[in-house]
Amino acid sequence: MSEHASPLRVIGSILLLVLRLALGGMFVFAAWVKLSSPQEFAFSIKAFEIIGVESGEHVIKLLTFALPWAEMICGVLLILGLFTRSAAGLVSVQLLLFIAAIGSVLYRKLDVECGCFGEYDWPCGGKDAEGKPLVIGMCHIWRDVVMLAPALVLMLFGGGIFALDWPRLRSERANAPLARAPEPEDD
Amino acid sequence: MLAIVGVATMVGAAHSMMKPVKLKRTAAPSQTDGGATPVGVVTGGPESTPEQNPQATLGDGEIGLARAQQLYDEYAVFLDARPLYQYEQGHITGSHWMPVERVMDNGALFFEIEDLAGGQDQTVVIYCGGGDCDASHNLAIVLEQAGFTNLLIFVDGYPAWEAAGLDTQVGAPPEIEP
Repeated sequence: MSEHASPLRVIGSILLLVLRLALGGMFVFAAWVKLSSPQEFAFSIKAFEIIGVESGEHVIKLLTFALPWAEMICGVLLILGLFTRSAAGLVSVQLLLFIAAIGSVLYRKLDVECGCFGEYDWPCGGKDAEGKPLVIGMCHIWRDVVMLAPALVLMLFGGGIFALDWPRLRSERANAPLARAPEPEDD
Repeated sequence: MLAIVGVATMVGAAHSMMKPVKLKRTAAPSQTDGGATPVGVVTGGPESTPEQNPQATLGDGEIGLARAQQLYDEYAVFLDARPLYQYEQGHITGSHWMPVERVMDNGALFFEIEDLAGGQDQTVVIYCGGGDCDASHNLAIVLEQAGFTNLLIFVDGYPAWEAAGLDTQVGAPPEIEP
């Protein structure tokens, strides 16, 4: 941690820490839900009808596991503050893909469930009056947009001085005095 | 960022080999059932029994007591979609406890059902508690997505079977007995 950290930087880093923990925690949880019930998630991907089962069966099977693992890795990296910008960047890409996929489903008026957080699909989940699980709607898009905002902030500003990135970046900057200093993640 | 994608892909590929999931239908629908068409995605409710309206049953893939008994005598596979405690209190003799939650949590059970039936195109009868019970319909939808093509729902369910004095037994399913 920097002995020269200004109060403003400390406050900013606390905010970044909160964003990292919240976003990272959500992604770890989402990944855990998907990995604990891969068959359900595989059916969710299939139901989106973006990848054909006949031609893309192996792609769907790979995505069933690779997508949650990407979420898991990004979530853990965000929580730790390691490679924060890369992790936040990949989280942003994933969220944009999710938004596009959900938008495509809404456009085609498909009657599918999200599969995003399994049965814990707050605040968009739950069941209707007849007890059927609620299907995908605009709520899911707005939820992803809300999650996209902190991801973009973390991508722009990095993890702050409370991230594990911080000592590494300071060390790199100190070891390259003649060259143009690498872009510090906290700036 | 690419490194994370690469690691996730490799871990995901390894994980997918350890825990298989099932997506694709592997056989054409069989029309040799002789009594009802396969379920597909079930749209009909349990209100219409085959005795009341055989044509509606054909359309919905639903069967009544008489047809279920006939299939039972032909050694068709019966799946019980009810909760465990109901299965333990009484179930059709020889039926397999397969509630939809259990099947969704363990993709290997799709293969087990396929093995029991002798193929995805073979007749599988699903039942639950009759009446408003929709567990059998939910299980049929999941199995249909996994590629099973000859699913029949015994809409009157266990209460009708028991009331008719047909073969029943009590106890836990063999695979989870202590």
